Amino acid sequence: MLTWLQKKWLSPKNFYHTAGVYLPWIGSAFLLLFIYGLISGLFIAPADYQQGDGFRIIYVHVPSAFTAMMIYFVMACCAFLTLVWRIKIAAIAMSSSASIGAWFTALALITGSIWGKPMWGTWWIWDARLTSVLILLFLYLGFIALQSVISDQQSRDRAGAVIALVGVINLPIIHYSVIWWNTLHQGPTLSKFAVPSIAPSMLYPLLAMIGAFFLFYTVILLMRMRNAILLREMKTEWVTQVVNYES
Amino acid sequence: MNLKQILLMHGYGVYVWVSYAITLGIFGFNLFKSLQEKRKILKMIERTNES
Repeated sequence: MLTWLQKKWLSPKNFYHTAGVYLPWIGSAFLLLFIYGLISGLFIAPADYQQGDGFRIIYVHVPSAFTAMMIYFVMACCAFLTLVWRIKIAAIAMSSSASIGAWFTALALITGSIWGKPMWGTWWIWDARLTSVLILLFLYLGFIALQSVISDQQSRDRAGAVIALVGVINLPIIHYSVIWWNTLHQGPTLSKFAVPSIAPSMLYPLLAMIGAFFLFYTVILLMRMRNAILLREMKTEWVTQVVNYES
Repeated sequence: MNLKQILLMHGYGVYVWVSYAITLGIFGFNLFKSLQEKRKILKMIERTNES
C-alpha cells in the first residue's frame, strides 16, 4: 500500500502524471452530479411548506459550507504530514487548498446571507454559527497572507502547517455551535439520518450537490497542485519534457 | 410551471437566482484562474529554458 502510494502519488513527478490521468474522470463525475443537482434542486424538488421556493438556496449554501469545512480538515491532515514526515506533496496540497477553501467559505457566507434576508429579515446577525464560519474565512485568509510573506519554501510550508493545525479547533466549534449555543441558525439536518428531518425528494439533490462541490474542489485542487509542482520542479529534466510536450 | 413562475419562484426568484449565479461565477472564476495560471507557468518555464 505504502509502495503504491509512493509510486503513484507521493513523488511530484508521478503525482503530476497520475493526477493528469484522473482529472478528466473526476471532472466528468462532477459535471454529472452538478447537472443532476441543479435540475432537481431548482425544478423537481417540491417547495418547502414554510420557506416556499426560497429554500432552494440551500442546494448551494449547505454544500459550500460543508466543502469549506472539509477543505480545512484536508489542510490540517496535510499540515500534519508536512510537519511530521515532511512530505512535499502534502505541503503543496495544503497551500493549493487554501484559496479554494476561502472561496467556498465566502460562498457559504454570501448565500447564507441571501437566504437570511427573506427568512430571518436580516442579511447578517452575530450568531454563533455565522461568526464561527466568518472566523474560518479569516483563518484561510491568514494562512494565505502568512504564506505570501515568507520567501523560503521550507519555512513557508512549516509556518502554514502550524496555522492550519491551530485553526482546526474551529471545525468542531462550527459544527456544534448550533447545539452548544442558542442560535438563530437552524440545528443539524443531515447528521440525523436515524430521524430524517428532510424529505427524500429534497435530500437526494442536496447529497448530489454536496458530492459535486467536493468533486469540484478536487478538480481545482489537482489543477493547482500540478501548476505548483511545475513551478517547484522547473529546473528538472522531466518538467522540461512536459513543457515541450504541452506548449 | 411556466417560464414566468420559474423565474419569479413565488417572490423568491431574485434571491434564488442571484445565489446560483454567484455560485456559477465563483466556479467559473476558479476554473479560469487555474487554466490561466498553467498557461503562464508553461510560458515562463519555456522562456527560462530558452535563455
